[in-house]
Amino acid sequence: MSKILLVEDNEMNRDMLSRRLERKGYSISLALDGAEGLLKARTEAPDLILMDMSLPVMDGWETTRRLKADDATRKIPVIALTAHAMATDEQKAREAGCDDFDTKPIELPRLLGKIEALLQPNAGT
Amino acid sequence: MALLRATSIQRKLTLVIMLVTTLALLVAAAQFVINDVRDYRRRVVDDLAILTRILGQNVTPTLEFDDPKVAEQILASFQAKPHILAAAVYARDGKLFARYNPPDRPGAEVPATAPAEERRFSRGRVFLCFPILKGPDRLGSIYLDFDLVEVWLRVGKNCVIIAAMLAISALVALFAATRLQRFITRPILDLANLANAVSEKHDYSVRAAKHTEDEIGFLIDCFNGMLGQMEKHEKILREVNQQLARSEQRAQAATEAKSQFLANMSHELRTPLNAIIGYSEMVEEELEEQGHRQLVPDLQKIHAAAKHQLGLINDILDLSKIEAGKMTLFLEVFDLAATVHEVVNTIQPLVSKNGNHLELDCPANLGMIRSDQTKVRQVLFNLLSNAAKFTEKGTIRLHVSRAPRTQDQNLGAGSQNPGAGAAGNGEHQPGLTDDLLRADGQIVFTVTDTGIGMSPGQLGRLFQAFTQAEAATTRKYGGTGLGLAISKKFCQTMGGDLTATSELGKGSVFTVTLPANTTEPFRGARGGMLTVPTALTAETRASGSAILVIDDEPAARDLVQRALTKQGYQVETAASGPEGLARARQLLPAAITLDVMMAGMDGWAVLSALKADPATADIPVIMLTVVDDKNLGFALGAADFLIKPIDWDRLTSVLEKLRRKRVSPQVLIIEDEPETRELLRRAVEKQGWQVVEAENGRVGLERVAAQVPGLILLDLLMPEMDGFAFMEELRRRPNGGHVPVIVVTAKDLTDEDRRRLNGHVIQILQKGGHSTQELVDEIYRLLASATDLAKDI
Repeated sequence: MSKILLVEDNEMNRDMLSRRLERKGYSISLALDGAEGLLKARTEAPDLILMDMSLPVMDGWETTRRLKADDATRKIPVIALTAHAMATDEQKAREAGCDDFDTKPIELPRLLGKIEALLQPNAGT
Repeated sequence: MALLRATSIQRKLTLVIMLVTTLALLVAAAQFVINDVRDYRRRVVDDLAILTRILGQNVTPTLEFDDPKVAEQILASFQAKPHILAAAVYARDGKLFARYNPPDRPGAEVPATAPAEERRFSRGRVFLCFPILKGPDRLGSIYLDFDLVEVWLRVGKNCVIIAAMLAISALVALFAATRLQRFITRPILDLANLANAVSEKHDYSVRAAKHTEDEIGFLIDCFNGMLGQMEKHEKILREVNQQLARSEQRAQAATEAKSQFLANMSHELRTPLNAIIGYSEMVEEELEEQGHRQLVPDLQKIHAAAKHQLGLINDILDLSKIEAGKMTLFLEVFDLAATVHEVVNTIQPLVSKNGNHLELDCPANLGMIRSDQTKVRQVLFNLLSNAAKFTEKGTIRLHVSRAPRTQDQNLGAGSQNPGAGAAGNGEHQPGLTDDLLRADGQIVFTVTDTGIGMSPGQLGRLFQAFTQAEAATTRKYGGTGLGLAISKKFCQTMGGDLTATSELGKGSVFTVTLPANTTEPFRGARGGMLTVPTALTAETRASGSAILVIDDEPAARDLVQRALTKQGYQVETAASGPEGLARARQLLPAAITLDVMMAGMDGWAVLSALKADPATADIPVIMLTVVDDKNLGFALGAADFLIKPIDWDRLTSVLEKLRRKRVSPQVLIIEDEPETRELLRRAVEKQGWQVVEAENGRVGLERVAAQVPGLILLDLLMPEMDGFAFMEELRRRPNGGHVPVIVVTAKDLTDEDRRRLNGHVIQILQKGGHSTQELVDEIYRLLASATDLAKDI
């Protein structure tokens, strides 16, 4: 069973997403802000991280950057979740190191597709 | 006359005074002279009359005793008086009795008989004739002819004296006038100078000094009054400007506050809705799972309502943004056909819901366009969803095409007409670069449906916000009524437009036109003004031999050739891979620029061939692609290329060249295949170099950040961050710009590889590759460093 770390400060979003993903068979770990997300990523080594971009303490971009800079967490795929849908946001997310990007409101099938794509072992170069 | 007008009032006043004075003097003089003359003449004549009468009496006895001789003797005493021209005595009967003529001059004739007794003036003479009387008896008459020349002499003398007097008087008058006119003119001149000073320096605080209480004084008062007014007005103007500046600041702040508000509201308004949408979905899922199907429809209604509200909020916010003028375009280069297919796929469920059939007519070679992808998607989606909504069991057709530019397109905001465009006149071989960005032309989307159509009235209100065809329509068909208004505004902002035609009951046609190349005003130098870092050219130019430009696009070839020739290089060109190879072997140029995207034998294949042939293997190659001769290009900034399977001798020689340059002894190997990496490591270490490894571009950048290597061996095709992205990023860093990079790439590229490579190029172009300016700079830089590298062997 794959473990997903969900870093999201909004309680309702957290609640919704975690329950729905759990029902789909994922094990969910939660973090309420960027710093906690960083910590949990290191200690729990999830298979994937869903990162809300606007977080307190440390925002999503900075957290992602740090995750990708740290050898221990570098390989964990990160999907950025953002409320905005501007192309600049996507670019910003990718520049921070995010592997993929999805917009809120979350469309579960779409997000699931992205999660599955990143969780599959690398098919080589 | 003009001269007179231009003289100073001082002179004018003096002149006037002089004129008047002289005139007065002249008149006075004239009167005096006339009077004097008349007086004198009268006196002269009176004296003469007395003399004549006296002599007349003296000759009385001669007349009595008829003795003319004695009469003549008596008449001879007229001698004493000069200017007497003739005299005569006449007897009682009028006959001439005695005469006189001056002895020393001719004199004049006397009349034969006695003339009338009178004084007569004629011919400058006076003729006197008086009766000679003894008591009551008239014995005869005496006649005198007198030359009045004396009088004229006196006139002449007077005139001379008067003239002299006039001259002196005039001089005195002039002197006095010159001095005295100042009283009048000085205040005027002062005022004039003051006015001039005020006009030049705009200093309204000065005032004219008033010295007199006359009209000039009054003028000065008025002038000072005006200055006072101007001063006051200026102060008011300054204050008003300040107020305006403050108002502007406030307005600006208000606009910013409004934008900020919009942005915040956007987030605030959506958040609760996300919860409603999310939870209702979730509960729906849970219920389905637990088998309580009957509650699901209610939840779906909640869900639908929330989604509808979200749509409304988005639309309202969009519209507010447009109206606040805050709708910005995010321009990028993207594949149009791909986007169209995306939208079509997304809309398919909606189309099928009403039993409709969607036909797509979209040519595969539409190519790339530069526009705001999100908005294009939104507009297409809007039109297609409208078509789907208002059509039942009908046909919806989407037709996409590319058309040459029309005049109208130039009127849109944000569209640019680059004039020469792809400079193609005459032969124009189509290639991939051709598709990538055509500088001219527009895209036309047509959405046709066989739905309910619209009446002319409805058509007229079509693009107005919040006006659906009629109130009933919203209830039946849903929607917000904002979509078309927003879509039209989007199209216009992008420099195009959205129009519609329709027939009630038959269907509608919506047409979108957009420029294929929506751009901001071009900020860089226009084509032709290519500057170059001069330090680089001297050396490379001195190498003497030619640069070979291989590119199948005439425009691109031309651009690079012109740029290089301008700086003194000798340039040869080739229009295809095979031709390029042949010429390269023939010419053995100092460097080769190689187009990545060529039809037929593409850049990678040419590169492989060049590096495989020992004759040409050492020639530095610059891989680039020039997309549009004004806007975009891309250069792979590699110092050299190694083709797999790696020629270790070549690698050795490259390392040797570098060692001589005393660079850092570290080589960074960026290669994702562990086996290849291992091989490279061993080969490099054997040459005595230190090796640092990285399995992809991102790690490579980290390594470079940690320590700048002397050389980078870079594989192009890697996951996570490939060679292209790595190069782009590396060049952007201050310490990374000068590290020589040797690109390692496979000899026989599969089609997949090729697609990926070219895709990377497109991606970089999409992100906004070098402008022409930057590209040419990069070419020079690469040429310099490449030929530099090649030199020392």
